[in-house]
Amino acid sequence: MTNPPPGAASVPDAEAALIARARTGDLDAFNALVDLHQRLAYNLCYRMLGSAPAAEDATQDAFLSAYRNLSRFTGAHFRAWLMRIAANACTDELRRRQRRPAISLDAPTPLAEDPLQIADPASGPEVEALRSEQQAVVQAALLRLPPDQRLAVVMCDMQGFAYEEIAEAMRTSIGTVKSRIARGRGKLRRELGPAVEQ
Amino acid sequence: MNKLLRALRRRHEPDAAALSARLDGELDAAAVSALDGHVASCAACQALLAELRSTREVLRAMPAVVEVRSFRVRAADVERVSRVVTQTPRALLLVPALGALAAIVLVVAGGIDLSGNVSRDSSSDRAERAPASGAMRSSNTASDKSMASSAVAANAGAAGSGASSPSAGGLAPAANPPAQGSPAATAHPEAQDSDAASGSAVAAPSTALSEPNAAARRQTETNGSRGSLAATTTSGTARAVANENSADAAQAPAGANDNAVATITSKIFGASNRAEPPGNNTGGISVLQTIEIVAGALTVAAAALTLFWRLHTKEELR
Repeated sequence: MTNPPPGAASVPDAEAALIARARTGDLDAFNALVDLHQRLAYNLCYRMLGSAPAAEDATQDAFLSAYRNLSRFTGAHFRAWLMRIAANACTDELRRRQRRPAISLDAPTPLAEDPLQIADPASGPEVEALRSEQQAVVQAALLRLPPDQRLAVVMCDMQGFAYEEIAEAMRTSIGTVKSRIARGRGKLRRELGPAVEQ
Repeated sequence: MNKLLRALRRRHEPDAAALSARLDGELDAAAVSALDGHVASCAACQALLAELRSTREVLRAMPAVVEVRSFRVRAADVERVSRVVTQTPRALLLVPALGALAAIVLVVAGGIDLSGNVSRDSSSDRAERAPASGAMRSSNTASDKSMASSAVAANAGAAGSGASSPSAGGLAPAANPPAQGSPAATAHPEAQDSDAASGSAVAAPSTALSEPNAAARRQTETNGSRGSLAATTTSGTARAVANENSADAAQAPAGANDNAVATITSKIFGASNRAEPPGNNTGGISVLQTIEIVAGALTVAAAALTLFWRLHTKEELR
């Protein structure tokens, strides 16, 4: 997993300049911001929803919504703000699924829907197959977590966000974030018992 | 035993949140040193910390997924979204406001109605309590003709209040027999009419009639058309007035029987007169209730329309 560096929390100068231009309606400036953050947003949506097409829709919705509401961004962490919008898009999708359930959330992700993942080129095909299987198990376990714990665990352990940013993205306190991460990890530990041992 | 107690006291639930935050480097230096000092001597915390660490490593080992397309925002998408939002009819934007207003009206009207009901209930409670005592008193002086009419009125109140007042229903029969006799009716023509009125009051709640009340109804039928006319009206007004009259009758002092009878008969005449015209049917839906129903329907309709509109807009934005 390529976690972003911990120092990249606050808005850098170049990004702040892009934000300022995008606020005036400069779509190119906003799309430069999209290029910077789209992988992060897409990964969050994919881990939250467990399906590539749904993650794509949610990510696109999130960026469109971010562009339309850019004037409302007043915080110190732009990417945390973006992640909040992406998480909201995921929440909308999860609610829609609850209203019109089409697939089981507990079912493992179909292999055909799996997006490309960054693999280790040094490993052989057998190792890669085993790893892929383990990743599917972990993703399925993630989808069984309650959405708030899933979001906290994904942002912390898979995307390297600090507690402060997670709290901003989830609009909650750091204490709540701490508790959600701990509970999420605890549940995953029970779910992934044998996988964790390996 | 002491060893076990000490062992149980020593055992504790590991603080998973603190251990988890310790792994992520989210504790300050003082908390870290305190926690590390404890973990060094606590096997349970050591085990949990190791499990949390391995879980975290598994999650961190998950590779990033690669997006297969760009999520750049196109001007056409922005325009489409703006069009959906701006093309929303202005009237639809007023729907939530209308719903909120209707909800306020509903609450206010409901409050007024409730307070009105409470005051009516308290007066009817008073009326229900009174007939029992009045009937008891009149049963002691059953030979007094004027008291007989008072007993009839009291009985009407007991029947009017229905089965909800068992004491009234139970005591009234003892007071009623003199009222059934013709002397009371012939000596006091007003009392006859009052019987008719009380009969009309009794006739409507037929399910709650006691035997003496049935006798009063029979008398009503023989007394002429007034009773039957009144009996055809809705029971609400007649019953309420009969209750009120019976309460007044029961509270009247024994020495002022004639005055009491006059008062009762005049009130009962008023009651029957009020009860007769079908136009004054207060047992139906009042204006306040109509307002409540309309406001309630508007609130529900506005909520449903707003929900539908929001869902429709979200679908269109997709």
